[in-house]
Amino acid sequence: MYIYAFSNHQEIAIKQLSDKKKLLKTRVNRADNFVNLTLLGIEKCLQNIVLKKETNLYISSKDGNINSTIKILEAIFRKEQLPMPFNFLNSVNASILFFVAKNFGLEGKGIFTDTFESALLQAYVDVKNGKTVLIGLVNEAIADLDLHRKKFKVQEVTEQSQWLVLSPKLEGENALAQISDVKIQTSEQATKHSTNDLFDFLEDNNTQSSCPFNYKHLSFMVRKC
Amino acid sequence: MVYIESYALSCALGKSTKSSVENIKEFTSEPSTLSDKNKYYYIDEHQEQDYYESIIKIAKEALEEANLSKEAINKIGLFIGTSSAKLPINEALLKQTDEMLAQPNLSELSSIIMNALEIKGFNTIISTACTASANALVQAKEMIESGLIEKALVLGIELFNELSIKGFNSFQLLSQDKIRPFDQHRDGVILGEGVSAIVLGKRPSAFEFIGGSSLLDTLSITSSSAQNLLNIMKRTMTKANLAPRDISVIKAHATGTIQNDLSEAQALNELFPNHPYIIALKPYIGHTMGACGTNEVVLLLEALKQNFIPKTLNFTTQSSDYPLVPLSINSPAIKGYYLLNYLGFGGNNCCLILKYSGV
Repeated sequence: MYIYAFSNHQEIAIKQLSDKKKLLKTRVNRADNFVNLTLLGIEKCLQNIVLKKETNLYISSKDGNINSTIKILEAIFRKEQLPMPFNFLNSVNASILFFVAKNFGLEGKGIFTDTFESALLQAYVDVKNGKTVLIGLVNEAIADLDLHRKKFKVQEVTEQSQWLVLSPKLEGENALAQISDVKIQTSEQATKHSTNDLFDFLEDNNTQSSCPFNYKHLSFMVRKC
Repeated sequence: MVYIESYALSCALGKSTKSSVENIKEFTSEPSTLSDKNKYYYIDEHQEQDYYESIIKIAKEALEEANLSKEAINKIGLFIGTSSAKLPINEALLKQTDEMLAQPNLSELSSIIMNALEIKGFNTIISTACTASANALVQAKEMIESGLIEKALVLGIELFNELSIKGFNSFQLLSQDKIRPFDQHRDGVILGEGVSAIVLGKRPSAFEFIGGSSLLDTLSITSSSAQNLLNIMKRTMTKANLAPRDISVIKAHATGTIQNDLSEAQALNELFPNHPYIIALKPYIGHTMGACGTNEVVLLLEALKQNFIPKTLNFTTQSSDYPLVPLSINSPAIKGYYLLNYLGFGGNNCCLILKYSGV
């Protein structure tokens, strides 16, 4: 399995979440922070590559569109109102697949999962079956940054939108790296890496040319091409 | 080849698979009426605090039925399909403590289930709205075929939460009367809760999982297009080397909503002009959203095991927009290919084909 493009968008929120619309090439109706964060990472990933419409899409996220979910729960339980329809829609995890598919013209399979490593293994199966896959991890912060710090017990509030284009070997295209030796591990084995480690490795031109990665249930080797 | 080795279900029809399907023969499940006059299909006596207990009980039933060794359970792949995930827990905690999203992390759901069942292998939570557990079945099958895992436990989980009901209500998609699949007078869906478990593997059984496909549909974020449904059914049959004439029974998604039933009926009429049996199961247990994929597979398979194909409830008047009449009486089970459709919010459609070879 080869990596043909990647992006490693990470930002730190200090006083408030950034206005991501300003950085996006295209404006999307009814897009909120989670949608814009997702699109921003993908725009960066696809700067030099055009995806076929049959490309499969995997989006992973720890908490999904957490701000829309909070708005709806506040409407229902604190204000005793019906949620705004499009807040409800944006809170449904599948909706982000729609926004991406619509914006980037994708018509393949679309899967939303909880972890990047589980998405990566499912993408690996697709690539073995000859498919190209756009796969990413998107974690947004709660707009109330103090609430975010308290809830997740962190001092620094970060958001991330990290993406890979994976494919079998493509004739006439230069791959950036190869992922091999993909194995499932049992949970007794220690987790050594985070998703950031993989993207930092890809981004850093000064590191070694290959590196083994160990996650909770998955291990693999990445070799830069 | 991948087979359904065992299954278990708890839904509004009953707390066991067998009793649920026996209740289909003499239909006894009725939705409850909520304080806002909307209706809902509850699992009997299920309480918010039973959340994990309800799920783990059904998963254990399926694992015991599959008769797996401890080592096989350790290595089994866990695929959870759910739309609301931990929302029921978070809503219950919000009512008690006023804390917003007390347990936000989605992955805790699989961690708790894995610890209880002693599963130590690959796990994933798939959250694609109403196609979630159907997609989980497709992903699990493909991973077994790839050789990465030998068996998979696929769970469909959807338990009562107000966010889903009020969200559907905000789009005026709820019926306050009945789910009337494909009927001229259909006026919406009634939601329900259900938990089901399916063990997939290579040990032959009466039910072969022939294949499945999932496609993004970008026509509308709230409803599916007839063209996409046509494409996905064709693709699933082509992958299985089947033609429309090979399909004996179609389990439609059939939510009873105006637009989705219209799209599905148009696609079915175009691809299957000589209709095979068309059935809808949501009038029995409500629309169980992310769990409807596995819930409706289990209901159908258990009905076949009990030697019948379930009739579709509440259909009285053929639509003036399309000539489609679902099966109106319970009919004897037939061996052959069963096609199952699932449509989801967020432009996500899924189609499965199962083969029944007789008990």
